Amino acid sequence: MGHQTPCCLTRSPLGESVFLPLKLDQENWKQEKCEEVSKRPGNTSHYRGPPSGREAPGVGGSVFRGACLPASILRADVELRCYGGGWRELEQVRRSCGWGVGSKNQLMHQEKVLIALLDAPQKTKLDSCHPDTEGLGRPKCCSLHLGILPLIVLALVFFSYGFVSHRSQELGDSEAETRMVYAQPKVLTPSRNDVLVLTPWLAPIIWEGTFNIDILNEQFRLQNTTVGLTVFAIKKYVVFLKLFLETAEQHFMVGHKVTYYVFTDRPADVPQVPLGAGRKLVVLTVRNYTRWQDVSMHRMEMISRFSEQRFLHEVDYLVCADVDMKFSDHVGVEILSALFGTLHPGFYSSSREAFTYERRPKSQAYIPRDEGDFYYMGAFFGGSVVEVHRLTKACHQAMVKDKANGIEAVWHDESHLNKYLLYHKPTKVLSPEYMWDQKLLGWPSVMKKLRYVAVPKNHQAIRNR
Amino acid sequence: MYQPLNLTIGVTVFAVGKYTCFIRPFLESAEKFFMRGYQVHYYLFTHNPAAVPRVLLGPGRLLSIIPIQGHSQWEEISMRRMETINKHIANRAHQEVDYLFCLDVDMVFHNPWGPETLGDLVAAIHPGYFAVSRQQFPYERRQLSAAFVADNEGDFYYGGAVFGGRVARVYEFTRGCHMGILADKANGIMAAWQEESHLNRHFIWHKPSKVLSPEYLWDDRKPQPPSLKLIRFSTVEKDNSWLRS
Repeated sequence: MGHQTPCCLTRSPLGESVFLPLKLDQENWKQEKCEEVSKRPGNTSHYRGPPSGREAPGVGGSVFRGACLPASILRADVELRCYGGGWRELEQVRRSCGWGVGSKNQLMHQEKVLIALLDAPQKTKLDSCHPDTEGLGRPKCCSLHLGILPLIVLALVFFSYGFVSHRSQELGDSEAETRMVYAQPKVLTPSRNDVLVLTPWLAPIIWEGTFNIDILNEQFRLQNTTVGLTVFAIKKYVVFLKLFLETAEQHFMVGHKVTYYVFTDRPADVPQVPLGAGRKLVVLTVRNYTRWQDVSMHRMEMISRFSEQRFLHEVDYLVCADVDMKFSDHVGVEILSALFGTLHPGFYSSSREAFTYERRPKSQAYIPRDEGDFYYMGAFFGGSVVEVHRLTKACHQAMVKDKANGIEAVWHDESHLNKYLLYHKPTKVLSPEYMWDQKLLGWPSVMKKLRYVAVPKNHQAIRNR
Repeated sequence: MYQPLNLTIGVTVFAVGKYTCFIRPFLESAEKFFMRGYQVHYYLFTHNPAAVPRVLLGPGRLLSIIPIQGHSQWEEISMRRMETINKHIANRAHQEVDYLFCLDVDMVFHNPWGPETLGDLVAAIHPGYFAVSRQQFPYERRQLSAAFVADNEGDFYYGGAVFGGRVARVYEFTRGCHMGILADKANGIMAAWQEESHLNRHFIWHKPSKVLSPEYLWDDRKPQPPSLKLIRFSTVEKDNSWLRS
């Protein structure tokens, strides 16, 4: 196998030694003279090649060949097309060839070398040809013509310009993760053998032990994910905000960008809670309703309206939570997906006939006794902004229809949520770890963590005031 | 859930040299079991379009025969698939299909393969290595190769015979693999299991969104373990030395 890549040693404009590989014809493994092809849109061409010459395709991008990196990393001849300085593409190629492995400093250093080589208009003369360190064959001296820029990276040109430049902007979701060391997943060992971890429609059910948070954090950080958390503090419910926000600061999406959207009719009563880096709070003033049932139900309308106007442009995911709760353990990116609901802690072991669905056919939220997957809790749901908008809009419209028909669903917005999620299946389902009441339900062994729990309150005192 | 979306599923399959003899059993079994009720577009890449048998296809199912260059070395044929699939997506497939699966031709469907397999980026666990620790996975272990995987890395060993996903993701994936193959070529090295090594390296860095169990990629020469309830897609008995000559 040992076909060695002959190289010459030269100096980059940054003053360090780089290897300039001789170009190898991919099909026939011929050696050709060192060539440099560099043509950037807007710059004059610095191309000078061997007499046979080969024009660099220039429209829409530059073509760089050769791979010049410090001697410790030898990768030759990967051709890259850069679109108007498309360093993301360079990044992808680099990672695919393993250049991306290494510390951030190493990566930045490599990038600097490459950028400097790209930008340098001056000629580079070969200072010397040295025999290489291990791994290379006999180097050949080659002289570069005047005005030739040093080579950068080769890439493959196998797609049409329009398609690729369009696509490469769109495909933002296939960034590579950095190197991580963790235990191997075991194919024949289920992560939990006491609970269901996958719905029949292949949505994961999130329990402790089913996920590796480091891998997930990495994936979501690479996307620079921003999460919005909506919470309603109407009338006396403002008293719950302080504990809610303080515990959210400790446990909710730590390390990611978060925007709290506090809907309230009493903006002056919103407490000042110190927020971590990358996290902010937005107060949205809304009207209140006399009946607590109406307050609860109109949340759907308000989230729906603000999703369109605001959330779409500001956050990637929305989490809609009740305020009379606190975070007591990690709640992170493992919950994020297109649409998620949470299993109600009172019904996770009940059969569907016992679910408190709306059972009157007159209501829009009606679900017959032989239907239903789970009973979801109205206090914690979410997803992408688009999906949450769809859900809240549909629920609000259903509630409006019910009102016109003179009926109110037995559990208000929660009934409508359950109807929606039955026919628009969530892509993730959160276990009752994410919605618990320790006073009512204790701490059963199946719950390895209690993450988001009820705060004791006096219902009569707090509602309708 | 998927049916109302009116999806078209593409399948790329390569039959070069003597491998054209596998086309009929592949297509006939696919007609019985693969994505029944969906629109399917088979892309058959071959150097010898005349050798493609006529197979009756159901409604909403198409076969396109795409001529490609043959190679004398079977490894070369195998590795060029990444580049060919990538170019093909750019030229055609991105307009014609929503999801794309890239399958080996020397295989046969035995049981339904349906929309449960659809996902953004899909890989299948290799039937020989699902019960084995990662140090024993046949990753490329030479650091010089672009497909190098260290001893303490790796989730599963994926089979090169099955991968797929949304067309855009498959495009990016095949490009990444092909870059690695080229880099290796320039360094004068060929990965231990050709494009399967590169595929595995890539699936560590770009984790699949869905992983198919060995039901979807089985080797009939192996005894069926109790954990495997159903075999859906498995190898056809063949004589490798004759095929590769």
